[in-house]
Amino acid sequence: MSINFGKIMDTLGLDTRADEFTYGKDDRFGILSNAKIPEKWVKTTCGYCSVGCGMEIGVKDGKAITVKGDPDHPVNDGKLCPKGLAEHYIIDAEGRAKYPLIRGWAGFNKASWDDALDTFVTKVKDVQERYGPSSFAVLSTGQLVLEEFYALGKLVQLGFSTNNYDGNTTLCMASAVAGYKRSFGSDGPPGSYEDLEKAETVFLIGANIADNHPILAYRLFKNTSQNPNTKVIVVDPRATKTAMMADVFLPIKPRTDVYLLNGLAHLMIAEGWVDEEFVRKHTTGYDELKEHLERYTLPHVAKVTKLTEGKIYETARAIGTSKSTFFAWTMGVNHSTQGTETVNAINNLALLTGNIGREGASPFSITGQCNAMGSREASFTSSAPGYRKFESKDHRKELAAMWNIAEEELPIKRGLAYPDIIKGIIDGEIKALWIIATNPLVSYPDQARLKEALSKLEFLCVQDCYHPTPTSEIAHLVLPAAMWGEKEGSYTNSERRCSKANKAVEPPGSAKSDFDICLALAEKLRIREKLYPGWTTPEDAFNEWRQVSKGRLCDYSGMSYERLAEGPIQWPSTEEDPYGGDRLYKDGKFQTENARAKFFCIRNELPPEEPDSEYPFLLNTGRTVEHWHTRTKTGKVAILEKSQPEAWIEINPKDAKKLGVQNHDRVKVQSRRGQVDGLRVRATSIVAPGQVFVPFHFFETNVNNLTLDDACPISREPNFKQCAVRIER
Amino acid sequence: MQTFITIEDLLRPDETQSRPVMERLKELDGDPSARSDVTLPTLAEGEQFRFHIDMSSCIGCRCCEVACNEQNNNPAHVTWRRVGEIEAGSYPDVKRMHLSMSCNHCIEPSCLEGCPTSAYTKKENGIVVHNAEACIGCQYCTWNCPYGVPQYHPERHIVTKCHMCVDRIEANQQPACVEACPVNAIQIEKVNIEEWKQAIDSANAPGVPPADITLSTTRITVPDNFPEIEETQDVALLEPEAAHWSLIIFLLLGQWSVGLFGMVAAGEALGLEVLNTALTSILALMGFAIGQAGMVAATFHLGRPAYAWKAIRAWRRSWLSREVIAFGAYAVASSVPALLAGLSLLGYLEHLPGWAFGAASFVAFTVGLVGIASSAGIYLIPARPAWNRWSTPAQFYLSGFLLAAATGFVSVMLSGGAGTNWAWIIVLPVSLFAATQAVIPWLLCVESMREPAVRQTAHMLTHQFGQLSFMRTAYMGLAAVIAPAAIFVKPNSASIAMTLAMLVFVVLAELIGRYLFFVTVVPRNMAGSFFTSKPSH
Repeated sequence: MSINFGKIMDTLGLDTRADEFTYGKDDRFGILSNAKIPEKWVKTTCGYCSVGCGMEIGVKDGKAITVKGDPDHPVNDGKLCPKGLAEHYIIDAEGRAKYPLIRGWAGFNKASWDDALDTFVTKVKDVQERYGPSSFAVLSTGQLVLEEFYALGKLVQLGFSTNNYDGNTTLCMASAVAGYKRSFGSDGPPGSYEDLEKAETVFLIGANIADNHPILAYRLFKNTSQNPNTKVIVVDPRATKTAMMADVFLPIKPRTDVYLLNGLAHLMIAEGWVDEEFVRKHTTGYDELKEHLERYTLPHVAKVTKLTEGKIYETARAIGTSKSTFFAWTMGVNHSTQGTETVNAINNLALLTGNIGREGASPFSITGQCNAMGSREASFTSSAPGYRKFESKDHRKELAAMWNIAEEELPIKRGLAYPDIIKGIIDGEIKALWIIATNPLVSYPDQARLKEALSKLEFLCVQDCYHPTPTSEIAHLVLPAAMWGEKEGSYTNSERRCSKANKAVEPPGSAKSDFDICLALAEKLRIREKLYPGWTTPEDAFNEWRQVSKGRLCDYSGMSYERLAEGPIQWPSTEEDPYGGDRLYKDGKFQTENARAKFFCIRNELPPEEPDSEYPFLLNTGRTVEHWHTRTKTGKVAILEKSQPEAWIEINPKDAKKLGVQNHDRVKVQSRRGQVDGLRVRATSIVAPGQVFVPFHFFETNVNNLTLDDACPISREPNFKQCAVRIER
Repeated sequence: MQTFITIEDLLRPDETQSRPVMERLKELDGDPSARSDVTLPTLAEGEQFRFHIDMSSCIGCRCCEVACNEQNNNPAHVTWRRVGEIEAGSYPDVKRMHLSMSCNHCIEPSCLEGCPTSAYTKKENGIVVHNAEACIGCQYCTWNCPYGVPQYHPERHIVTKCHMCVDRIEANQQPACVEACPVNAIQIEKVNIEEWKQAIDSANAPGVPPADITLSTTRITVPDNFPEIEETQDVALLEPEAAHWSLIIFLLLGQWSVGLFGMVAAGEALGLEVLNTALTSILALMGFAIGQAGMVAATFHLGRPAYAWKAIRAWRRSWLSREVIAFGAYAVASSVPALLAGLSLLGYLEHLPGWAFGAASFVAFTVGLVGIASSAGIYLIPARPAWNRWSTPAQFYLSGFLLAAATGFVSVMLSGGAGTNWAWIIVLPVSLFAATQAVIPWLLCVESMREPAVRQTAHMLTHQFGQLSFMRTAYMGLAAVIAPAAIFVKPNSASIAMTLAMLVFVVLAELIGRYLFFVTVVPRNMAGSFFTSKPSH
């Protein structure tokens, strides 16, 4: 028998583990706990959201032991949000996917990459031979590096010859993309975070930056703390943390945004706050708009939106009379069946007041994922690489020439968007699906319908850095991917700023970067040299992408890994002017055929479902600052999980009283599509009577059992934000 | 080389932990903090550093919490900085505020005052630091602080707390929380101690215990026109406090032991026939054994039992040190009558001199009473209002007397003394004490409810722990009734059974009572959040 001295020492309290809790001096960051002083710091970019903060990973003994905000990065000046501050914990976490897994009779079997990729190619080819090439669909993400998006797009569209390829970005930013395209002729957020810092009026609609983009709250704070006259206006049906930062909070009735935006536009015209010169020189459709807006009088708009006339007028005056207004939005606008048109209504307002292409002035979509922007530019999903149009023969010709392929190999139209891929599976048109770095079994609306769809697939491959996830658990093949911190590439953030993501540690097991998986699959298809001529590293992909994007609005040609190592760069970046990408449309020339921006006459549409006697509450969904998307990452970080370990339902105290429930009671919430059991009640005046709010991160109590999968007809982005529910004890 | 440990060594506080680090730092140069655009204030005479928390600016992002844990390598269950949520008003004119709090580096820190090992020091710059080496993990500071600041770190067996990143401050760097805050809601500033004492009311803020208990130095900017709030977000999260079983056992056994010596002394003094010397000898031995067992149990309350002896250091100010000393003395004092009793029972002493035995027992009893008083002193603390009342010492003494009287009654009945009239002398206290003990905890529920923490304790006693509270009262009541009833029954097996049942009821009721004492106390604390009310675990 051996004596366990450690245990005895422990019981007697002889060891206080003092070494781990004393402090030393790090050359870069000063006094730190000795346990957090690394051997080296590796500069990189945060892998969570698209604010795109610069950070440094502390590496010791081949492990990521800590992270710090990069004090020299222009986005965040060394600040990070709580997720970023604990980001290293997601790398060496439980539940990483380490080996390829092939489903057999009795569950998953560990496999070699060779066998796994053979399985992939055989199954996909088999399905495509039997049902046609487009019976294979791909759902990707906004989480890969730009180089991977570019490689994957070529592989899917040219290698697997299917255009039924979309990203989870359609659940996120598609309405902004479509709105930009309609108003300005191209995707691309026109402004910069610097404009948020310089604007005299900041108009935030459906954007809870304090919870979802805390470092933008920092940038806004930089503005307001230095300029006491800056006016912050927040439009949100919920009294969010961001609403607390507002000078004017507009607690709008859900889905009356178009009324408000039209009403504000009406006031611009009525009060003479229109930038007539800008409108005359750079826009079309003003006369029609003017006529259309006539009926949006202040009393009418106030009545419909449930806002006071005073607050609406105060908002209009702030926009109309200030030198610059920054109009920013996120999911409150995009997650709607009228998402695209609402974006157009925002753009109308910016165009009317000439708030575009100038310092502090821009309509600005705050993007979701770390590289949703890179995906928009390079992924070959909703458009061809470099903001090119599938339908344009000229664009196809350009691409074919650069890629040295026949023009006919290129798709002539966009394939199915995300919700239509799901519908395609249900309708039996799609039989095989490849899901990359996304977790629809938490994030997609109307889970019952999604489950029905996924169960019909003949082949499902899930490629992710974690396993099991709710989605990987039902896959036929799991491909283990390297994650943030384990691979090299670049992310482009909301303000078009491309920032290097670098490798700090090795991936676990035999996990490979998504880039290497693309290369290996191309090898299996015997088209590696055709698709990826001479490529071995992500830098090769980046250099090709520079050429492909050259001359386009999203021009990366002035960037290089060498230049990016010195600091991030905004596009457009040309060789002549590599650092001139601070804002778009400075010359008032837009990407439309006549170089003029377009006004749209938008009418408010009702949401697809409204509360009634059977389902009396309006459900709104959203996020909390501690968690990222489907919690595959943040659920593994103890300090974040501790603060928000489970979902809750916010109910106005008056409704709670009527329902006879109080804080921490458990309730069942039902919609026409499904139900969630055991949701914790949070009685709070954050939400209006008649409305409830549930965060969407939690698989265990998945609010997407309740949501609608109706989508915006233009962008195909689903209506996550409003549906009708009832609550039972 | 020093080979012997002297009393002076024991009483000298350990070297502060940060010193070697600071010395090392002096050797290193280069200043990574130079980029920080906020400079630290320079302190003049009579000034100290403090936190300024701007509630009107805080967005509740918890960056400070995470940055703090990362800076200090703390696990997630130890969070020195915590963000509370406070809501007031109704939709849409709701004020939803967040308050990030850590140590208030008080002018009169109660953690420091109560610490039995002098592990705390208030530095010249006002920062209250805790020395890990000196700490024995008694956790008394975690009870004493009205803000729940010191937190037990179970893997280290000691308490740890915010030290305002003192090493960073001394190296002219901002603390991690200050540096991490995206909206500059946490700042380090200087305060004139005397001026702040005069204006201590201005330290009060919603969701924070009154500043005058420990003279908190933290300045809190509350948003203009902030409505009155009644309760903070965590109010419905009434989680029970730790039961501290080793303390339950120590307190009950210790008090029982003291009570037994009181009874022995009384028996000898009154020359009661029912309490003859043979019986009292056994009771004295029992008292000794029970007392020793209790004290052994107490050391296992410590995170570091091996260093229990350090607890006597702060006898000048800490009730915990005094308790350790008093019960140490009691261990010695109670050994004298026990020795006499043992020798007599073993036949080494032919005639146990009654006066000597009685006097020794009385001495032990008296020392024990002081011990119980110092135990009670530990619990009479403003940070835990449900303990900080007359009932705490009353219950402690009554427990000792009741348990002793019940034991005495059992021994009398077992030795056939039931038939005598003198049995009433011993049964009366049993009934009286049991009846009183049954009632006392309920008085808390009918007393002043202005203090939210007491109100919450009452709520726990009647709801979450309602069944246990009821059982306790019922057992006490039954004991109070059964004891006299047992006398009426002819001395036979039924009366013996009733007597034993009475003892079981008393012991159970006391155990439950002491358990409830610990678990239902609601500490004063800073505002918690929806999911987190406690500083740790």
